[in-house]
Amino acid sequence: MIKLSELHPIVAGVYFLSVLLTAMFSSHPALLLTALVGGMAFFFKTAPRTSHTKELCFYFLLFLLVSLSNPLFSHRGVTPLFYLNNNPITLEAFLCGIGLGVMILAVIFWFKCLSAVMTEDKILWIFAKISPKLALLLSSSLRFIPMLKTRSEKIREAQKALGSFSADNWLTKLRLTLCVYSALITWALESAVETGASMKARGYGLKGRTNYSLYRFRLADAFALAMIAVLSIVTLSAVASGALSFEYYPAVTISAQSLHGTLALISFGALCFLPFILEVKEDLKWKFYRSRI
Amino acid sequence: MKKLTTLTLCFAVLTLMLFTGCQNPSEHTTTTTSTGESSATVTLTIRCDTIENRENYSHIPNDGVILGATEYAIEQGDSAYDLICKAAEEENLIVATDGDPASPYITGISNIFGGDFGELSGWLFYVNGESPSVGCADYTLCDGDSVEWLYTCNMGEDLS
Repeated sequence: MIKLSELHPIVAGVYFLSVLLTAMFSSHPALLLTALVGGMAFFFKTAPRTSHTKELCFYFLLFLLVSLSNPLFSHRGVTPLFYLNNNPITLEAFLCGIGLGVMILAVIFWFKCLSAVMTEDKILWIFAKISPKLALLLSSSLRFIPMLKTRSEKIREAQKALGSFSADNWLTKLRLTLCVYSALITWALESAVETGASMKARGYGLKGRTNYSLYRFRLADAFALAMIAVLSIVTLSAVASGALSFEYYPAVTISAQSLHGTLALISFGALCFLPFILEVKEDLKWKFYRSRI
Repeated sequence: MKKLTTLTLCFAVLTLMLFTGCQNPSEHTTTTTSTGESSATVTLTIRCDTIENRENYSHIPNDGVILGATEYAIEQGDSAYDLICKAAEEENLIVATDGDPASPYITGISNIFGGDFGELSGWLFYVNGESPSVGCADYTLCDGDSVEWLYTCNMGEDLS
């Protein structure tokens, strides 16, 4: 099998859809932990190694916030730990908060992997088949935030070079920041209009117009798609049939171990760690080939 | 560094504010036990027989009776809320409230919460068969009153 980023966009899309759906709709801690660890492994393997600690700190704080705030608002559960303003703070609500925190982190990491693998051109390619307008809207709105970030930095640097931000007075600084903001918005609006006009002038979305596409559905893609389909059907059917159900309230109850549930856990593990394993395999292959030169 | 100190301080103050109302489960059951002489007795009943298919839920008693008619000695001026708190301590029921601690709204009794069985479900209280027009913390009980907490699935239409 080949790397996830080199697979056909539709295959990669199906992969992310099935992992994200499972992570979002199951509450079984084993599934959620698998999703989190798998997503993190793939993310840290592929992402450039810069400023990870800051990001990780933020995610850890988010996790703490979610898991600690749930027992403050939910008083369900049969095991009170202590009483706060005459309201029970229960063990079950706390565990549920931890579960929610893991789920949110897992989904965030998988979305980060998604945006790394599914580049703009792939998303554009998938949606252009359904609706060219939607594709244009999606691709331009997806790049809006990173674009604003780089452009505001550019404007700020230009202003700095002109000597603008040297004033110590915070009021002047605020006024200058507002100026940068105004320039940024003007620039963004103007370029959006220009993009639209330029795409129209090129006849984008006209009937009978074909697109150059880099993606061909190869045998490896078919093989990968079949494998992803089998693994996710086993997992999702177990989640849907309740073989992997997990209840927090009123008392923590876990569904009895069954063959279907165990199979689903194994296949979801394989599904989550598949991209990471493929990356490592490619690395090893590269090292092996280089050692023979 | 200054920022960090401020942040830590803020966190400490917030934690203090939150946890001043903290009690252990064991403390909770002993601190508010009445010490003064009791001057009145009232009966309390907690029932949830409007819920259908009760046998499907492990946390709901099959006969729908969470607390059968039980007599409690109360002090002069105790409210209906004080009564249910007292009962909760003695019978080990979990009572969850919402809103202002001075005039709380009972959202759940022994893990049956308002909204669990339809949008119009929740706990209502009746004194001597009538529904008072004030909240439970504002209703002062008299000697011989009979208080009922009944779970409704349809805004009280399914009671009476």
